[in-house]
Amino acid sequence: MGAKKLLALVVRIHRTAGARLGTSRLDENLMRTFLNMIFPIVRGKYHAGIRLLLISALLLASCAVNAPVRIGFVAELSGRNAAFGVQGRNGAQLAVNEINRRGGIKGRMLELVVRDNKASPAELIRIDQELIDEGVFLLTGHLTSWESLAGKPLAESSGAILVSPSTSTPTLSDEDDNFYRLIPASSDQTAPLAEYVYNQLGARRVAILIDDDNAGFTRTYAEGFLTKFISLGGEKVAELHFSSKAKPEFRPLIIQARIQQPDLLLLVSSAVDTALIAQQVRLLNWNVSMASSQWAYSAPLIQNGGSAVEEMIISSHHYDYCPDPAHKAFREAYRETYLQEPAFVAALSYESIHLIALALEATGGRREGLNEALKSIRQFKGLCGTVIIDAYGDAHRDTYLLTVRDGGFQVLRTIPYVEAP
Amino acid sequence: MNEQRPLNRIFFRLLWLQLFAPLLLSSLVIISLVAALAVNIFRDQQSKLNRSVRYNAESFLLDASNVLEMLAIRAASSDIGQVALSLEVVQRGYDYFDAFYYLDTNGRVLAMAPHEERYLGLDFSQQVYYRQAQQASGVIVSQPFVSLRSGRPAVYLAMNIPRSGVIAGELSLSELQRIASLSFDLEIETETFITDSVGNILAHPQIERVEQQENVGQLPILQQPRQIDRDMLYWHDGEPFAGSASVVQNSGWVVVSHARLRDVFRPYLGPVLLYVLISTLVLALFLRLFERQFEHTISRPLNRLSKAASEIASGNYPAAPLGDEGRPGFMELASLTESFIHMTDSVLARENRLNYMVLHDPLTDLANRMMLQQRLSDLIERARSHGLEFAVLFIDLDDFKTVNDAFGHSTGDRILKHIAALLVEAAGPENTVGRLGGDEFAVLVEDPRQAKQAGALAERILHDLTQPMQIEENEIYLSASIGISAFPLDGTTPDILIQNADTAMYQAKLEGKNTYQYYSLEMETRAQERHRLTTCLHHALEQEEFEVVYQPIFSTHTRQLVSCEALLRWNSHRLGSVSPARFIPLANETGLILVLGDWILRTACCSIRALADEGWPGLRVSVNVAERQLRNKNFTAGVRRALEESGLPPHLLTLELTENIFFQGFKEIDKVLLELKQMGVQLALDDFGMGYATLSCLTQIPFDEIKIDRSLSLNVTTSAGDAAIVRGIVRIAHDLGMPVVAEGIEDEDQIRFYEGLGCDMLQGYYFSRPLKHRDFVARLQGARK
Repeated sequence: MGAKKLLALVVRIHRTAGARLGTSRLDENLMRTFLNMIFPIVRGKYHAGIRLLLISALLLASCAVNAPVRIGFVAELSGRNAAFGVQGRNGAQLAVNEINRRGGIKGRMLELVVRDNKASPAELIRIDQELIDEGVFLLTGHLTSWESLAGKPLAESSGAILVSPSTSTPTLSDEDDNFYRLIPASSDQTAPLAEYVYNQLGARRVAILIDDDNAGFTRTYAEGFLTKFISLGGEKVAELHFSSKAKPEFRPLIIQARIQQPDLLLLVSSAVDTALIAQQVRLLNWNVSMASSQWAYSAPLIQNGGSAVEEMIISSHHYDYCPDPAHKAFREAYRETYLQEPAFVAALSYESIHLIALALEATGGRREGLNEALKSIRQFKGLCGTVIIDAYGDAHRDTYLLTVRDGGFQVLRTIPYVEAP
Repeated sequence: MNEQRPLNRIFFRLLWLQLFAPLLLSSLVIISLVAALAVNIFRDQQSKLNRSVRYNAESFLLDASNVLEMLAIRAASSDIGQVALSLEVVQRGYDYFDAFYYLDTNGRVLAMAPHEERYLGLDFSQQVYYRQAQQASGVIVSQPFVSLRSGRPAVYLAMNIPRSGVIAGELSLSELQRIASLSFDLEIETETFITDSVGNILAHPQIERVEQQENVGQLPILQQPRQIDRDMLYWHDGEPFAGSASVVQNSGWVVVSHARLRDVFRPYLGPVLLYVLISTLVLALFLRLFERQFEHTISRPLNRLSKAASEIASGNYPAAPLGDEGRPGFMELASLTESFIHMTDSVLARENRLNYMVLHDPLTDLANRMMLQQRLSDLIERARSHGLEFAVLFIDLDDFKTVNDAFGHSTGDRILKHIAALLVEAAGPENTVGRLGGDEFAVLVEDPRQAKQAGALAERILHDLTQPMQIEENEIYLSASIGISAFPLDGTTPDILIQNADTAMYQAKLEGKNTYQYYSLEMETRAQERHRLTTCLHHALEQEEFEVVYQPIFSTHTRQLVSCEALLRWNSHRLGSVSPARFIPLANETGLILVLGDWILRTACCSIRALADEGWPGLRVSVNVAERQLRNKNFTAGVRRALEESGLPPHLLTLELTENIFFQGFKEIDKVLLELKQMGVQLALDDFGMGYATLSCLTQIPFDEIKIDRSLSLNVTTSAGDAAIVRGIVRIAHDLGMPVVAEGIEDEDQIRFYEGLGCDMLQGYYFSRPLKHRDFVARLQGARK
């Protein structure tokens, strides 16, 4: 038997065995090195026993290294809004480390394969495809709605499973598919927010600033808010769009809005953009009430917003100072690891990895039956109370209305989730 | 599983093990030495690289801090316009600062460089570096943050200017990147990067890892304590790494360099593998040569020996077990081969001898019965296919037993040898002579011409045999009886041919010995008859077919019944009345005579004793004793017991012996007769005058009476010769003081003749035939009346 043939055979056996056992490939280079070392022995006219021993040792070694379960984490990790993705990744990584420290899934480690989609849908699809080709069947990341919407068709066609920690576009609701998420559609937040600003702040005229780069979320959020706000008797006086990628000057936009004399500015944008807009608003000495979505709910909002974001109202399904001990432990771990406060997206990403682990535990780390396993999880202990997951893989949880006070977030109101009759 | 492996396989397996163990060991030692050396050299280099990167980073940070301090001093003493100008100038001069911010005491942006209108006035009081700087004196180094301006992670140096605000510089991580990329020309690819105190990557050859703010706090080398420089080996990403880490002063940054161990080993892999390969090849070559040599010197000769051994098993005896190879290569095998050849020779010799012994008679070296039979089979086959004839001579020496008894067995053996030589001589080379056993020989007359006149050959043999032989000091006279059977007339199988020749020989014996007979069918009938008789005889005693009859003997003078001879009658249920002349010889041959003799003796004793009790006290009885009985060592004891059991006075019993007992060479005869005499038993010499009528025996043994044979009595009245002989006998007997009994008296003339001679007693049909016991008693009673 020639050396090349033997190598090919060993590689094939290893791959087949790996696939059967649900393990992924061993580092092929390492194996080639090893094989090159033993070939003089394997090829020669040697004692059959020695040959057998060597080959079986090789195979054993390749199978005994229990290949990890790889989970793709594809998010926007560079650029101005990278903090959101980085927070999500950090949270996910924290969960992965925690699970691996406990011994992994049935002896197999989890591996978080992190990729940057560079805020580009095309890049996201390319990376997703690449990961799927490498045998990854679980994709998380896809934190924002545009990411989930861009990634879903490919996931659908390739059979990969998408678990989004924080996508809230209602477009993906009520579909029996292989898309799962940890928060409800944004409509769950927008109604309470509209009610609050209408009733508590007395807002009647709203001007909305929308980041079109995440239209999947921002527009539906804005629509959801408006539907409720208008139904209550409110009025939309301005709707202004911008593209965050273009690094726009916000001052002209704000001036445009101020002309309509709104009593509420709804900023459907990322934390940094929301902060910068708020700063400009205050620089203009415009003392209008401001509200924002959960997208803005993270540390950079305050860091970059300073006093300008004080008293801003934010809707969210998560609250960083949730008194749940699990959450406290998570926060401590996160701060110790990253020297930062965790944002809600970190917590949700952390939760999503645990949800995935729960399902993988049921399938022994394999793809087969993972959909069923995920669907069978209808209740899930999150960091902050119980998360209910419906038949379509959409999570439902309490909604919080927060505000920024003294450089920190505070809960204004908690709207518990009530299952629809 | 019991399959045996060839010697060279076993031997070479051992050899492989013995040679490979050191090879493996030496390879292991060399590999570990090389590995240890490689790691040490590499770690040394890596450590140097790491420390120099750390040094550069420290210098960089120090420079940057100095720049910031300089700006702070200027800001404290200048108005805002001048500060803005300074920021602008300095930022251009020190391009590793991407931006400078001058923040007032409320955290609002007063000035920045490069100038961007939109940031002026913004509230940065919540920026981490601002808060850090406010709480510290001197320059602080922040964690990495995504810069609002560039959207890329950046580190901020910031310094509080009391009562004026904070001056902050956004450090370009690309400068750090440049520092981290510094490398000596290390042959081995090592990854050097800089992290902050918790493992967030600040500088890395792969820029995206910086941009994505990757955290590598989980790396073993970054685990606590983080403040100390360290070199270590650890497991990461599924394989071993050699790493080096050092801490950048005043920042908490850590410079990490690490490399995969397999990359470290890679340059050494070639030479080590070459070593293993070459030593393996050399070893394999050496073993191959050795194997060939082994094959030549050991395996092949052994295989040849083994082949030779199996040849022997199948009956071939190779002369040279090693073939034309000549002598084997080493001593042990040479001696094994020698022994093998020796063994082959011995086995061959022994087998030949065994074959010879199996087919030959050890005494005479003639063919034995088995060989004769084989030979006969061959002959029959040949004769059949060629339509030939041949004959079988069955030769039995006459009365050889007597000779054996007389001269002893060793002499007997010499005689047999002599006869064998005679037979071979007589038969000639074309015929086969064999010994069938004992004194029986056979000649296969194979020559077809001779076979037709087998009688002639038989005659010649008889003639040669009757020549006196000089054996030791004895002159021996012998004769033989010969039976002849011919193929295919008298049989077509070896057994039948021999058996028929035997039958013919027996007939020759009956014909009076020293003659030959051709086999004929009627012989067969006679032989069968004889066989039937023998069978019946064996059953006769237990079926009480025998009967003792008594023939009265009368006194010549008084014509009184004085004695009687007890005789045996056989009334066979199957054969009817059988004459003693037919069955006595048979009984003699079969040994039944011993039982019969004992039986008749006891029966006669009892009867006569009973008659004595009934009033015939002086009545005597005589019983015939065969020579075979006398030879039986229990004979005298049997006579004594018969007398004691019956209570018959010994002198009333006469034992009749024939003179041939003296010619059988029975040496103990005197002793037996003397013992009988001492017992008080009378002895009579029976059938005197029929055979040799040796007078010497009359003096030799003290007989009490002589009985003249019936054949003499028949002719005494007609033949002057016989009358003269009888007259002589009677006279001699009387002279010796022995009474004489004349047998076979059938008429008055004979009575008168014997009366004239003074013969003492008479016996014969004239007086009475042998009578059954009942009739005999009646006759006694009649005589009394």
